[in-house]
Amino acid sequence: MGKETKKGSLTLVKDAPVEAENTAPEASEADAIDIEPVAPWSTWLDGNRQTLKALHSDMQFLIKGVPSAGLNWQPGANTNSLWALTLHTLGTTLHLLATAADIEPRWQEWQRATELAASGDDPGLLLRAIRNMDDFLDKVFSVLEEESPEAERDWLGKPKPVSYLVAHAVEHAGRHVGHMELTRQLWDQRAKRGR
Amino acid sequence: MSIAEHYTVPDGTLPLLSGILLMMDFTHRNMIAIIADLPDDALVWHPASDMGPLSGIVCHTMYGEMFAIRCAAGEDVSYTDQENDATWRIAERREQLIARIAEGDAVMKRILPVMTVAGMEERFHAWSADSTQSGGELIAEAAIHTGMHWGHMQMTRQLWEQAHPEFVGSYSRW
Repeated sequence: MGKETKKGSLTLVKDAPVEAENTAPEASEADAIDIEPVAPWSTWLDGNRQTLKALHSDMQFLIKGVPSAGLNWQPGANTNSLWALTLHTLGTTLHLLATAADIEPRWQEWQRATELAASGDDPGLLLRAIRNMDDFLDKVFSVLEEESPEAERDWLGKPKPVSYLVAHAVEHAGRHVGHMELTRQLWDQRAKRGR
Repeated sequence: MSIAEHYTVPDGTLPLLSGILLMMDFTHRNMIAIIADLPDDALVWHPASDMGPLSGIVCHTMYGEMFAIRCAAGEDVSYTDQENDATWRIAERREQLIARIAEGDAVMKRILPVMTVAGMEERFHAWSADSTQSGGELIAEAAIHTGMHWGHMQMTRQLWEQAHPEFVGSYSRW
């Protein structure tokens, strides 16, 4: 945050003035009151979409240049590799947002343990998975535009508002990017020492 | 000072912010859980060079979070890069760190429920005089920034535990 932040800036609320569709002179006051304002939800969603894409860029930065051994290296017992963290982060984002949008795949199909146990050699696969998730973001956020933020969805067997699921997707990705940052930093230090 | 056991988002809160409130309530509680059972020397332990200790992470995170959210509400609050840098070097005890997190949690729960759409669109000079950010941007930035450092806290604790296998703690990872 502040000068050390490299997350890019959010555009939760756009600079452009909101079009005053509800304030046309011919519209009655009663009509204006009945119309649900769309812009705040829409701009909030857009901010979240852009934040997730910025986090995906961070993930690509953290993966690029790391050899296969580094992608699968775990800094200690019960910690996760860059490979597993990437797949888990993407998988969670996918299931949280799809559940929020009430589309497939919902959380019941989530293979969390599989994601965290994953390993592989080709960093290109991870980079492609991130790009695919960016494409998914564009699709799912257009669906979410039509949803109500207060609508509740079943997430892990409990009702959760759509607004929470979207916020959680962003927070979860940010937290795991934090894990990836430390993992990469520890790998780099280890590599420098020639171990 | 700590966080009250149960939290319910107040009626009238903007639906977009209720999601952030619920998520951050959990985040703050978990941040406290990460440090609540650790000895004080674990709080100033560095996992490696150029990596911050838990005390520094908490002080930096809550400094930024409280500033951003109070700024978003138009409150008289200041930020300097020097102060921000200095937070990483603060060595505090467990109770002090928990109080910092709880204070930030209280600030968030005081401000977000009464935020309006107009307040989220208002722009402020937050990080420098050269740029402005909307109140909404500042709230979102605070949330993602805290989430990322929460991840750092989880891993830092995990690495400390591995360096101290004799320690038996109560924090459960997932």
